[in-house]
Amino acid sequence: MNDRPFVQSEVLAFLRERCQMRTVEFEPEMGFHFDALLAAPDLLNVIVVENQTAPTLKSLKEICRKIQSFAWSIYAQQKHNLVTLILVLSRIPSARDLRRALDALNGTARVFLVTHSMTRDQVRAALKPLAAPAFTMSQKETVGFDQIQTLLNGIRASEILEMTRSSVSDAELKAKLLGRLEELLSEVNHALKKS
Amino acid sequence: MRLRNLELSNFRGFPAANATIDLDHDAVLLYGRNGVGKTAIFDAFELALTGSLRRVASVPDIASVLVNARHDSEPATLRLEIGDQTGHSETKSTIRLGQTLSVKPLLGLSEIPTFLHTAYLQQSDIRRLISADSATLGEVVRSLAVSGEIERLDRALAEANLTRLNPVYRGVAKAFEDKQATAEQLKRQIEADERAISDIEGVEATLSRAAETVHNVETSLDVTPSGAHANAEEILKAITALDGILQSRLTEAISRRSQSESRLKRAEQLLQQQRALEIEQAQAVGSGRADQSRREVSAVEQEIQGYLTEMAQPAFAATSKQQQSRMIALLEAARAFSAAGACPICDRPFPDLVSHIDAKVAQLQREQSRLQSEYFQLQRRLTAAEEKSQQLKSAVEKSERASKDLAARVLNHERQWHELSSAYPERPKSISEIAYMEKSLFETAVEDTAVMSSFATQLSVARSEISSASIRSAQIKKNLANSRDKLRSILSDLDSAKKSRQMLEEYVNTAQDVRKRTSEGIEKILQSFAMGPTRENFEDLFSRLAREPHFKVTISQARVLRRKPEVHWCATYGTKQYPGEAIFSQGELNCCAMAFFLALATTNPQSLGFLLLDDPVQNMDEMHIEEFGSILKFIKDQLGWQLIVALHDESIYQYLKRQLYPCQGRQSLAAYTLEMGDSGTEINQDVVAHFDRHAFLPSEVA
Repeated sequence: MNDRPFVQSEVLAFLRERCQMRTVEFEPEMGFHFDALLAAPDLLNVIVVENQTAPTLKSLKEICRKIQSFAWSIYAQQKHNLVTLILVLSRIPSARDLRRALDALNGTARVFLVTHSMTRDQVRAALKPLAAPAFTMSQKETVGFDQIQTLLNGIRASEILEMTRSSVSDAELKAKLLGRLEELLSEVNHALKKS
Repeated sequence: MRLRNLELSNFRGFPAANATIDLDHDAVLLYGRNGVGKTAIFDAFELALTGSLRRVASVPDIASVLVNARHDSEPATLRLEIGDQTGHSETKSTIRLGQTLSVKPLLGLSEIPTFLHTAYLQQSDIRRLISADSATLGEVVRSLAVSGEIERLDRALAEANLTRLNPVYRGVAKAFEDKQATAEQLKRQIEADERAISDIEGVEATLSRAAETVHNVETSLDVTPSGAHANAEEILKAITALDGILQSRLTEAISRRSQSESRLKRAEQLLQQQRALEIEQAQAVGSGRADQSRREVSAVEQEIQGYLTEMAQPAFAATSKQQQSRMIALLEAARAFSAAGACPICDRPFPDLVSHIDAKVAQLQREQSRLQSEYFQLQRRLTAAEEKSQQLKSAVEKSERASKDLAARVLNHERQWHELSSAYPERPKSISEIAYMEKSLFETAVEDTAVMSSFATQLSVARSEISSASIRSAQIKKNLANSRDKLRSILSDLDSAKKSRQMLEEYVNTAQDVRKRTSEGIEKILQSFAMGPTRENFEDLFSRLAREPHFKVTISQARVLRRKPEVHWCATYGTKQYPGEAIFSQGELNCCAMAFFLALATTNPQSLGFLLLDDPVQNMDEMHIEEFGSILKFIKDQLGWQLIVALHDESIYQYLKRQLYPCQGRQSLAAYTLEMGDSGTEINQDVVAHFDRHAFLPSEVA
């Protein structure tokens, strides 16, 4: 199943489920129609989905024109929305045609390409930026922040632990560690030198 | 934590009049061209929050670069206010030229690394992260993940070198081992001494040999036996007693020998003298030399008298002389007559006469010569007789003196003999007898001396052997006692030292355990931090920034190598791995730097809740910038962090203004433009926007 290419409905399902987007309809009087129009949960982003079974330069230009019109319409309404275009293509157009289309949309909309040749994982990876990142934050318990006592658990290091806690710098701690060592060494030395 | 307000005066390029920036918004954008003071604002943030400035840390007089050069007589001031739900705090600092920079930081010591590595991204950090080697990333991760105490302990333990390789420890350990070795050596020495004493005390041969020697000497000297048997002290005592006896006997023998020697010499002299006298007497008596000499003297005197008588006869001399003279006269007359040719007396013819006269003259001359010869002969005889007479007289006198001398010597000899012989109880008959006796006595004395010396030597050897054994035994016993005392003392000290060393060992072991544990712990923490959420966020953020489906980046390894933390990252293409910096473009590397910074920021549980980004989008194309803006928006919306971003590209500034536009309740955005005015940097408020639902297309229509 994973190797089967996405179809538009599945892309929409992915956007709804994974990106919490909702299908909306804006201004039918704009004079053109998108295959799908979705709104992101943050109000700011609007996602246009266009499906092209036989993409040509002409059809790509037509899509670009619609997006530009849509963006202009948003601007004219003094709205701050940003437009994102997802192009679902049956095949990859020529690099030149694609470049020209992307250049035309530069500054107007973010563009995501989904082709039928892509695996489902690749599609998911391609559309992943539309979903909010997880921002997995490290847990204090797992990375050992401020856990010197836990770190030294099982070692009778109370003396060293106390030295560490009562020192504010490396140099002070080093001096204390060495001082204790010298103290013990001098005790041994003293005992040895008595005779 | 949220930055609320910043006031700058005469700071860097800002004018003396207070310049205030209201920061109390969710997103604050600062736009300005290069050199208008964007970075100065970030310097002010860093200075106020940490109390120092990394960027100018190497500058000796930091105040000189912070005070506005146009009005450097005036101090620079900065005031930053921060706050959160619980309250707010602020720091205000005045910086004067020539004065040491002193700013009380708003952040605590443990928060500063978090700020420097996860909240403030300055331009040099981007460069550093782009070219980050594993060690640099490792240091960054360590400073974030490892608590200050653990890190401090790890560093201090490493620097203190609390190991058995520590030179002082090694010195003491060596001293301890030396002491133990000394104790062992002493033990061995004691055992050896004990064996030696046992050996010495067990040797009876020396003592019995010495006792036998003593007994022999006593028997030889005819001394009462001391009865010493195999007891060193008794034998030594007997030897000492015998030594005295031997000494006196020896002295006596030597004295006797000396006397005999003296008398023998005297006897021999007398004997020699006697023989000489006897010979001389025999010679003098046998020849009758004195009488003969006297008689010879009388004969010679008579002979002399005869010669004198003969020579004294007048006729002998006168006749001869007269005859001669007459004859000569005659002959002279005859020669005178020879002219006549005939002898006046006999008339013989002259030729005959002359020859005749010549014959006569010759005859007369011969006669005269004979007489003269006889006379001279007589004179010689006389002289010889007189000389002989003198010699004989002298010989007579000599003989007489010799006789007297001989007589005196004989008398003397007799006196000496008398003296010598009177010394013996039984008067010897002759000097030879005395000599014989004395020779015998001398030889006896010499023999006695030799015997005494031999005895003395034997006793000396015996004493020496006994003494040697005794001394050695005593010495060993003394040494043994000393060794035992010393060993006791050393063992006591060693016990005490062992206790101290045990404590020392425990301390060193603990230190090593702690060090091992901290090293392992740090590595574990690093791995947990870098290989866990940080890696996930890093991969996710990079895939968002650079939407290339084939490439991925990942953190491949986090480890501590020779106490240096290392975090390796790499690019992956399928299953292949590449060093990221080797294959990525500058823009992609920039994306990596951003992804790494944001990954650290978003995974650090001690996050400060704000991000300061000084011109972060360098070398990135529009697609990357779009995604970067999108990520910032997610951070703002999801994490609720405050964003303060400086930009020098207007289009990016405008784009980010749209992307970061407040889209949730109570969000706000402020955008400022910075320009260079006559008196310095001027801050102009561009936009202040608060959330307004009507600013967006309605999304409810589904």
